Amino acid sequence: MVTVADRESASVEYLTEEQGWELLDQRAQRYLHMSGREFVERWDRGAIEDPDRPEVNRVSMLLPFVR
Amino acid sequence: LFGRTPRVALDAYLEVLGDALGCCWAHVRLTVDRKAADEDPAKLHALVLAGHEQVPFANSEFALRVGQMFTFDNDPSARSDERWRVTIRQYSYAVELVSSNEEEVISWHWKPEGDEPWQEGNDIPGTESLSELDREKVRKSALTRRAHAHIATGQLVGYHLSRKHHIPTERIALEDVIRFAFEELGATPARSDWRVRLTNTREKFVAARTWPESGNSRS
Repeated sequence: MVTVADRESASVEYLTEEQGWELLDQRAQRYLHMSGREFVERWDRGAIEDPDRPEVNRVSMLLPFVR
Repeated sequence: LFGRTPRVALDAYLEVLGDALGCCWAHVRLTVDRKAADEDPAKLHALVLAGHEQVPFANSEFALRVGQMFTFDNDPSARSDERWRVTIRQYSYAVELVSSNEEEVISWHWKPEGDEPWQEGNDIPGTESLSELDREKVRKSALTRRAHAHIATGQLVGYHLSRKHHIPTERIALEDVIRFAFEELGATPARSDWRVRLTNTREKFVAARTWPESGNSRS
């Protein structure tokens, strides 16, 4: 974890791609009841129904962690 | 927001973002993809608040969820200490209820994903040969690429308006969302000087951004 310089109240954690997959998988399981890899495969095929709904959005915003 | 290297630009941006979010909580945890720290400029990066969990405001039934995607942009003609900048490419800001199902109250999205925003009233190019169903999919996809807001929750859903509607907005600053939560929703700030602090961070954001606000276009 890297602390933001000169700020008493903010810290920044940098996730590796492996940690990114863990996070994505956790969120995909919780909100969409599928694995992270299944989500990515469906997302890339355009097979996620209503991709702008909150449950999807909470997962899709994490995609750059695994790209 | 600018820097001699991508990493310096990122640190500058994180400092401003930390200042803004520090108006909400005594401690803020930002989560960023490692490749951003490694200064991979050719990639879309992610930056989320607290692993993209909802984070409750103090003494409030509301919580905030923040996600951004950004790139590092290089301007060879800029001063050496402003050669690199962090440019937001997508954002998702949501005010939610603190409840077991994390119900969304209102959210603001901007996800252009590299395509030109569809303009209402214009035909969508290249869709003439598609079926009605596919044209509708393209139309909805185009709607999501414009900056927009969703208003939701069971209390608000009615005959005329639902969470599925994309309410057009300008691109907005995160500071505006935080101010909305304090001033309109009654969320409790973590600092007494939040107005000054938000004004300062928003001014830095406005000075660095590449897009104008309605009625405030700059040459």
